[in-house]
Amino acid sequence: MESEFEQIINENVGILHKLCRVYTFNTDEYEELFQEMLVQIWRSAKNFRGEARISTWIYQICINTALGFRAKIVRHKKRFEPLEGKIFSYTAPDTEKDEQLQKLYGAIRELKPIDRAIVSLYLDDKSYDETANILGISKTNVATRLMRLKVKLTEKLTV
Amino acid sequence: MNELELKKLWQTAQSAPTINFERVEKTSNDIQNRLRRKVKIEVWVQIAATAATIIPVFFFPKMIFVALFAIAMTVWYVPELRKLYQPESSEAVSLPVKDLLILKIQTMKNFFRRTRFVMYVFAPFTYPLMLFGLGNFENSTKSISTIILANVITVIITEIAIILLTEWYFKVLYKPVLEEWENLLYELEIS
Repeated sequence: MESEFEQIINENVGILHKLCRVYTFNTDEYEELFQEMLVQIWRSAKNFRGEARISTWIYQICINTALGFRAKIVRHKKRFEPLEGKIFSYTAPDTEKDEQLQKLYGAIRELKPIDRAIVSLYLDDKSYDETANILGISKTNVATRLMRLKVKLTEKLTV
Repeated sequence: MNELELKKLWQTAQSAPTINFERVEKTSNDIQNRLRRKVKIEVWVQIAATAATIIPVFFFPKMIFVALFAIAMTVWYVPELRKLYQPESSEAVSLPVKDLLILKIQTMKNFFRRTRFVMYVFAPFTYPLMLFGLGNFENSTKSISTIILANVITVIITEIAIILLTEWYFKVLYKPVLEEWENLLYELEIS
C-alpha cells in the first residue's frame, strides 16, 4: 500500500505543487496546503476504484482540498496550528528562477478560485469532460468559461 | 506566449518538494485527531451543560422535568454537531466540487437550523419548567395567570439575549466559512 502510494505521489507530485502555487500566497500557506493535499490523498487512496485516471482523481481531491483550505483561512484568519514535524522539505517557492513560470502562476493567482481550477486543468491538457466531471458542471459551461479565461490570461501575461 | 507554449511551460514545471513518506500516516492521524478533538470539545460542552441541569434535581426533585428536557434536547442536537465535520471525510473529498460545496452548505444550514431551534425553543420552555421545579407555583396566593404575566418580561429578555448570543456565535465562527462556500458555489454556477 505504502509503496503504491509513494509511486502514485511521485508520478503526480507536480499537480500538488502547481495547485498549491496557484491557491496560496505565502510559504506557510503553501506548506500547510501541500501537507493537507497529501494527507487527503493518503486517506482517500482506499476509496479509489480506478473509474477515472489517477491524475484526474488526484486533481479532484486536490481542488476540493484547496477550496476547503481557503474557507479554513477565512475562518481562522490565517492563524495556523502547526503540526509537529514536516512531511516534506522544500525551498521557498519564491526562489524559483523561471520568470515566465512565476509570471504564469501570478496571473492564475489573480483569477477567481474556481477559474484557477479550470485554467490549471486546461493547462494540464484535461478534456472538457474531465474538467466538467471534476467540477460538477456542464461541458458547455467549461467551454464558455475557458474561452473567456484564455483571453483574460493572455491579457495578464502580456501586460 | 501562445496556448501551446503556456501548456508546455505549465507541464514542465518540475520544482516539487521531496516528500518524507514515513510521516504521511502520522500527519494524517494528527489531522484526524485534531478534528476529533474539536468535535469532542463541542460535544463535552453540551454534555456538561446538560449535566449541570441534573444537579438541582437532588435538591428539588421536580427539577427532573428540566433535566429530562435538557437531556432530550442534547440527544437530538449532538449528532447534528458531529455531522458538521463529515464533509471533511475521505469519501466526501472525492466528490465533484459542486456536490461537495452543496453538501457542506446543507450540513452547515442544518446545523444552524437545529441550533436555533434548541436555543430559541429550549430557553422559553425551560424557564417556566424551572419555576415549576423550584416550587414557585405551590402554595402561592397569586393565580397562575398573574405569575405568568409577572415572568413574561424576564422570558422575553432572556429570549432576546439568547438570540443575540447565538447569532453572534454563528457570525464569528461559522458564517464567514458559509459565505465563502456560497460564493464558490455561485462562482461555479455562473457561466
